[in-house]
Formats: sequence, C-alpha cells, structure tokens
Amino acid sequence: MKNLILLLLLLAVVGGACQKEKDDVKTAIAVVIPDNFPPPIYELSANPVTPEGFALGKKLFYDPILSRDSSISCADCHISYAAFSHPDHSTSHGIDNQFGKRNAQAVQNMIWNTTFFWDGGVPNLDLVPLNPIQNPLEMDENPAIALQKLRRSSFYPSMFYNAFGTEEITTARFLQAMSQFMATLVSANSRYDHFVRKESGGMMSTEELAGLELFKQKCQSCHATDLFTDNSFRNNGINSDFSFDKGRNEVSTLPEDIGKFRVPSLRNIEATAPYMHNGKFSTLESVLDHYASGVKQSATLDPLLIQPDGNLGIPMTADEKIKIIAFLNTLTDEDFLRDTRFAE
Amino acid sequence: MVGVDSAKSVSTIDQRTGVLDPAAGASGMYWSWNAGYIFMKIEGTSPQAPLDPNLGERHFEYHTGLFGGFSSPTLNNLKTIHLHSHEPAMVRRDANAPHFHLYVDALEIFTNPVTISIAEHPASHADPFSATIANNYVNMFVLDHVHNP
Ligand code: HEC
Ligand code: HEC
Repeated sequence: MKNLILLLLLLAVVGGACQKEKDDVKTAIAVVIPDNFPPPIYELSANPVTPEGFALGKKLFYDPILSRDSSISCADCHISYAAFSHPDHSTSHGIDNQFGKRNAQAVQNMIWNTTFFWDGGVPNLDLVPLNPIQNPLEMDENPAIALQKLRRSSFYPSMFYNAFGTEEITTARFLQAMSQFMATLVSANSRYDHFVRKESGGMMSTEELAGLELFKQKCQSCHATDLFTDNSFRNNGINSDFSFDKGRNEVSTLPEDIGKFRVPSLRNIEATAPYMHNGKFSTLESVLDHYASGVKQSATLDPLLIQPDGNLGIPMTADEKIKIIAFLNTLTDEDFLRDTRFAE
Repeated sequence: MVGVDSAKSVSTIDQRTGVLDPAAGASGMYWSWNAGYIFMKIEGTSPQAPLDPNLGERHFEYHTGLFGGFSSPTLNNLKTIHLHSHEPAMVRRDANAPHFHLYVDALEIFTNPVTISIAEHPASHADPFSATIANNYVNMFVLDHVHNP
C-alpha cells in the first residue's frame, strides 16, 4: 500500500513503567490518508491521535456509562461489523426501548465529513457525541452528569492522565478522546480501492466494471469522489410529504431545505442496510427500484431526478440495476469491518 | 449583543470554556442537535396552551437561538441593542468595575411589538417563528441604574 502516513506510526508501549489499562492498544494506531481520498476536513493537528487517546475514546464509545441509566452505549447503535451502523433497524433503538425517527448512520471516514447527521446540524466531529448523549430517545443523559460519572470512576481519571497528562476530565478532553477513536475509523481497503489505486487485490469483473461506468453516469453527480458523497443536502424523492421529518429544514428553518438530507457515502453499503434516513429500504434492489420508478414529486425534489421529458427518477434497465449493484458490492471493505482494533 | 456571536458559536471545543462549555456553564442553553447556543429560554404553563399529555399540564416553551449558520445560511436571531444610561459610568483603576443593573420585563417577550398567542404558538425552537420572539425580547432590557465604585 502506498498510502501517505499522516501521523507518525504510534506504537503503544507495552508494559512500560507507568500503570496501564489491561485492554491497552497493542497494535499500531495511525490515521492513514488514502491516496484516492481528498484531504481531510477534521483538524488532526489540533487533536493528534495517540494510542492512549484512542484507547480512552474506544472505551468511552463502548461504555453505557454515558447514558442516563447506564443501559446503552454508542456501540449499541453503531456496530463495528456493520461499518458502525445499526443493522436491521430502520430507525434507531434507544433508551427505554424507544425508537427514534432516523436510521443510524455508519461511522466511518468521519474526518472527511463537512457536517454530521442526516440534516448536517453539527459542524464538527468534536461536537457530535453531545447530541446522542442528550437525545431523550437515545442516551438521555445530561453531558455534565456523564462527565461527573467519569470523574468518580475508578479508572477513567488514570486513562485521562495517560491520554492528556493530567487526571482532569474536561468537556474538551472527553470529546477529543472520542474524536480520536472515530478519526481512526478509516475505511479505504475495498476491492474498488485496490482497483483505483492499482494495488494487488483490485480485480474487478466485467460486470462490476460495467456497473462502475453506469454509476458514473447515473449516480456520481451526488455520490461524488471516492467518498461517494458531495456532502450536499438533497431531496432524492423518498417522500412527497416531509412533515414527519423535514431534514435539513429542521436545522436551517429555510423552506427550500424541506425534505433535503445529506447525501450519504456508499462505502460498505452492502453492510449498512436498511437504507435512507428513515430506513425505508432493506435491500439495494429496492433502492435502485426507487431511483428507477419510485421517485416522488415535491417542491424541493432534486432537479437531477427530473428528466427532460418530465418523468421522474433515473432510467435504468433491469440489467443495468444488476450491474450497478455488482459494483456497489465492491465497496465492501472486509479489513475494516473485521478490524479487531475497533471491535469491542 | 443578545445571543452568542457567530465567531463564538463556531469555535473549536477547546475554546468553549466557562459559560460556553456545553457540558458545564452552557448546560441547558446549548442545542446539541443543531450545534449552537440557546439565546433565550422561557417555559411554563398557560391556560391557553394545549394539554401536554406527557407533562400533564398546559405547557408552552420557547427556546430561541440561531446565529446564522456555520456553512450554509440559517435564520439569524442575533440582536445588537443599545442601552442608554442617564448617569455616567465611572471606571477607576484602583476599584471594582461599575455594576450595570438591567431591568428586564419578561412580558415584552409576548407583546412588544407583536402580540404572541400562546394558543397558536405553544412551542418554538429552531423555526421561523423564533424571529418574532427574538424581535420582541430584544425590547425587554432597560438599563435601570449604574453602581459606580
Ligand atoms: C439509540 C441509538 C444511537 C446511539 C446510542 C448513538 N447513536 Fe450515533 N447515530 C444514531 C442515529 C439515529 C444517527 C443519525 C441521527 C440523525 O441524523 O439525526 C446517528 C449519527 C451518528 C453520527 C453521524 C455520522 C454522519 O455521517 O454524520 C456519529 C458520528 C455518531 N452517530 C456517533 C455516535 C456516538 C459517538 C455515540 C455515543 C456518544 C452515538 N453515536 C450514540 C443512533 C445512535
Ligand atoms: C440527486 C442526487 C442523487 C442521485 C443522482 C443519486 N442519489 Fe443516492 N442518495 C441521495 C440522497 C440525498 C440520499 C439520502 C436520502 C434520504 O435518506 O432521504 C441517497 C441515498 C442513497 C442510498 C442509501 C444510503 C444509506 O446509507 O442509507 C443508496 C444506496 C443510494 N443513494 C444509491 C444511489 C445510486 C446507486 C444512485 C444512482 C442510480 C444514486 N444513489 C443516485 C442523492 C442522490
């Protein structure tokens, strides 16, 4: 792999003089910027990833202590083998068995996001955890109390010491540790990636290559770059009435934003069903049927989904759909989905 | 300024300390889902409000924020006000700073200049109606007197 190593390869010192957690990272942790990705958005130099910061962030991500009754952790809705999305759940399943109104997004390649959540309500990765912690349908905890619980714990102060040099647990340190864990969740080793980087393991079949060409013609205007999103907010015709969830409009209040949602990445798409902000579709076949013949009209429907003759959607034959799906399946990154550094 | 200016509203987490710390000083005055501070929060009961089945009371709540958006524009409810003082404020090097005592009339939120119907608007958060609330509450401040050291 000829990837640029942005940060020095950091190796955890195993069995050093200072007291360490048993579950210390014993493998290398580094944020690797893949050759085929644009430069990251997140300011890594302001919060450099260290093995200790990563270990702390990971511990927090998997710890239900952040929820009101210590019943639910981030990882309950963001599961490693599903690219940190929530398999089989159309909408999120939170505290007290309550259901939210949106599908849990994958947590991968977060340092390239310009905004977070389906409506882009949060601009910076460091501010993301406050939202699920506070959300009454997710973890329902006051972040100030969550921090108090960490301060009283028998091991968190020493983990903060290892990561930041003193035992003090501040909002910034807490959030930066979580970002350090999430920043390392880079998925860029799918078969497609090996293909575009001309590495070994990059064999694509003629069907998959035909699918890639069709994808470029029909999908890439929104699912752009090798991150497969242009980070914009668009209405892809999922509904004609968005009163249940107005999308981007819920944070911007602008009428032109009703029904617009952030274009999602399609990486590991095979592993992140169900699809769309409301988890409406459980298969890629039904997603393509939607684009071909299910697009619904509304005032903010994206112009790219209105054909010159006034018909809605993206014309596709059955054969073309099969090829596009074959291509989408080459975006599965088994290395990432099975990475033991990230799993519990 | 009434609200948290746009530079502070987009600052990085290490700069959000004290009253701007979302998990400390600004706890309860920060929207984690629409990253930004709440400028004015008023909640209560009113016979005009519809019955909230969860709370078991006739509840209304106005949480007003929105600083104009960090990447693409949103409503901007930041307001700058000028308060006039009839007496001079003295600044002395060897003494504490003067204290400005504001008189705040919460009724203005509902009346000045637009009369707000709680029956019609029992709740407002990040929505277009928040502009009406902000245009009203900006009129609730009067500089009553100054305590010079
Ligand atoms: C109850 C389930 C649930 C829990 C618990 C949960 N999340 Fe999420 N997560 C979601 C849902 C649903 C969304 C999409 C929400 C939206 O768009 O409004 C999401 C979105 C995200 C995103 C945005 C991804 C993107 O591309 O914008 C990140 C990052 C994230 N969660 C991290 C976390 C972290 C960190 C925690 C723990 C502090 C956590 N989540 C806890 C359900 C959950
Ligand atoms: C006009 C822009 C646009 C075009 C063109 C477009 N998409 Fe999308 N796509 C979106 C948006 C926006 C969403 C999210 C919508 C939502 O959740 O309400 C989305 C969602 C998806 C999802 C669900 C992802 C997830 O994680 O839930 C898949 C899969 C998908 N698109 C595949 C495709 C394919 C394949 C094509 C080409 C045939 C295509 N898209 C063309 C904008 C577009």
